[in-house]
Amino acid sequence: MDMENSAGTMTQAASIDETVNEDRRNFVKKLSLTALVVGVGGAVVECGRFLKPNVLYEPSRVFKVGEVNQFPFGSRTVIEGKGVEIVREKDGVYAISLVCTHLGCLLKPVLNDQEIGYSCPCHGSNFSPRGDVLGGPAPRALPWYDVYMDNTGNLVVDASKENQKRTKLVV
Amino acid sequence: MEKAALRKLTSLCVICGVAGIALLGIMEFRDGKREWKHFQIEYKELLLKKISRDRNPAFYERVLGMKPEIKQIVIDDWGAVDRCVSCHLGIDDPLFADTKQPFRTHPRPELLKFHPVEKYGCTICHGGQDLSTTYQGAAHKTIAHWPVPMVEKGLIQSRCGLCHKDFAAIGADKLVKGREIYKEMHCAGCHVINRQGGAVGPELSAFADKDPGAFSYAALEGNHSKQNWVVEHFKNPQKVTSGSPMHLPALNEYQIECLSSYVLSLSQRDFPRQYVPKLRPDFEPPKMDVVVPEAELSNPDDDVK
Amino acid sequence: MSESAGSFRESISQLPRNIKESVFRPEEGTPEQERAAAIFGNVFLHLHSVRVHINSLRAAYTFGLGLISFFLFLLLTVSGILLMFYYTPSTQLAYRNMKDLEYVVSFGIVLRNVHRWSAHAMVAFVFLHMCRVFYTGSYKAPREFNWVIGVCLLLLTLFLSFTGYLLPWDQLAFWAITVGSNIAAYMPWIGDNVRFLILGGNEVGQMALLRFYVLHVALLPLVAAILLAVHFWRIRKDGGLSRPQDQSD
Repeated sequence: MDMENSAGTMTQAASIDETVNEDRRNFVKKLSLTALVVGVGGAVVECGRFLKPNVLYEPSRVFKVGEVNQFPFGSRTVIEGKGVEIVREKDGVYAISLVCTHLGCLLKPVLNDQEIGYSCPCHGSNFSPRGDVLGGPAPRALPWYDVYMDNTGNLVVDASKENQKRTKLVV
Repeated sequence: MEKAALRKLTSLCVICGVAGIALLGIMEFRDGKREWKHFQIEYKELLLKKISRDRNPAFYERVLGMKPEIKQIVIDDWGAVDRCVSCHLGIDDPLFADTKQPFRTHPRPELLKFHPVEKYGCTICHGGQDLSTTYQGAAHKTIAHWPVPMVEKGLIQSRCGLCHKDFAAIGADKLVKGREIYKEMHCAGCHVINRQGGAVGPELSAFADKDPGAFSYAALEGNHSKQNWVVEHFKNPQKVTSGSPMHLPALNEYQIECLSSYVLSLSQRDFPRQYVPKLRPDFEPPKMDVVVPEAELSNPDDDVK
Repeated sequence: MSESAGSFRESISQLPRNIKESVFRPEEGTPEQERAAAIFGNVFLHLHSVRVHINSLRAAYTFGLGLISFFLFLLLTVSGILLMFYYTPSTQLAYRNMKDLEYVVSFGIVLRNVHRWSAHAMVAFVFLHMCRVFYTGSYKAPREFNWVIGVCLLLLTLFLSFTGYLLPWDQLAFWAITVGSNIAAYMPWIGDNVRFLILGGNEVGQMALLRFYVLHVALLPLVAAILLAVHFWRIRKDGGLSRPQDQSD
């Protein structure tokens, strides 16, 4: 078996034209490395974009709940299937999440109590009418979701955006 | 000699690598260009001009932050995934009544009120390829390999009949007229609808549900679609189906539209209860068969609209 | 106290080198030995020999057909795995998933087309590779067993192509598999049973789609990978890629 040592022939050539080969070699090395990084990095980025879904086969997080006059002053209306309650007060309307912040059970709205607004049947967390934690294992207050009125007069809830300032929509 | 071989391989490697990267770049660039993105950007501009910031600041901010994305309506009950709203963005917004397509509001908003887009989608009435996101792919015009092109305007009432059996109650005048013509032409002599009629020609009770691939389009003048087949068949049955014993007197355009709409509405599809319209309690499906002396069959010149 | 503090600081400064040496084990020896160890000490690289004869690299001898086939196999694996994120082997959903790949998924069209074209190309190239091996007599002793492995790989390639063809669940797929399974049924004595087993039933339906999917993404690629490892190992054991005599001999 004849095995050539190609390195042997290379070192011979290098000693003759040392300076020129070194610059060229470095340049080609740098170029190849850049191309490799760009190529592999680009491919990874493209794969990431491929894997990110562009459509979801799930009910939309932005949904119409009806016209504003369907929610009279002082009313609290649960939107079935969406885990959201619409509360209309004199100074505006807001949407509060009915998902317990402890481990995700659906809350029961408590209607005649001054203190407790929502109660969780799973582990006993209680929340005030504005969603603050009164007791139980829940770690944080119930989020309020963004509501807005679209240009056809319908009230729309965007459950993907939290209304962190807890401002009510004036209608 | 070895050096030459290695150099050849190295340069081949480098060339292929550079070509590969260039192709990746081209691919990325081309994939980002989608039709619906342009429409959504245009829609956003149009909408911003139409709404006022002061009256509804929350909504204005939302519209400002709109990014292009595919919008779809999934209806599991009949397996439709309607992506029409990715381009037809103003379909239920009265502000867009005078805008150009594809943003224009639906011309019959009262119909949309009874059949909201979120619950019914679009393709159940209009046909087309629901899954597509391009103009061409959606089968606005008849395309190869998609058997259900968009329903023509003149025949649109045929889709009402898929669910609604009481034509008069919904004001489907073409369907009412079509059924009358069916009776007067005595089609029931050869065709069966809902167990009434003769068995000479094919049964029509579920004509709308028949596979479009089962029809022969070779002799058609227009597009190869089931709708066109029906219309041309009524103009000249022998041309469309050679050797057919079917005869009918010359009908005018309007009569053909009515009769075609009626025949294309005959369906035995089952819909879930929430989609089935309530019939008035005394509704009786009309009889298909009526015997009329030949001399008294209506004149084609009547019924001109 | 200061001694241990010094050695602690030393440990920290040594940390990068320690991590590097823990991952890339250093081998001591002559420069020649160290370069060889970089290959055969690496689990990913050591399936290939450290050195090859220069004639093995001559493009005009092998045309690199085996290498291209292997590269296509890797391309198919990567594109296939990515496509699996969006595909369901259900008769209700498969065609819809294909439409989603075409219209909705970023680069969906590209990946699907890469997968399809690579599949057709792989069948062509393995066939050409087989021709090259035959016409250069590279199946002769001691390489007879490798030829057998190669034929098995050819059959696997064809079955992978056949099972993959059904997955889009369109007219082309359905009728191709109908015809193919009916051909299988023509086998004497066992034909009908074979057809029943392949389709998981009497007709080309949900069970057939599921079976073909499992074969296509799991079983056949696994067997192909194992046989490929044997195939490459045999090349080395039989004396490297068969090649013309060295000019200087």
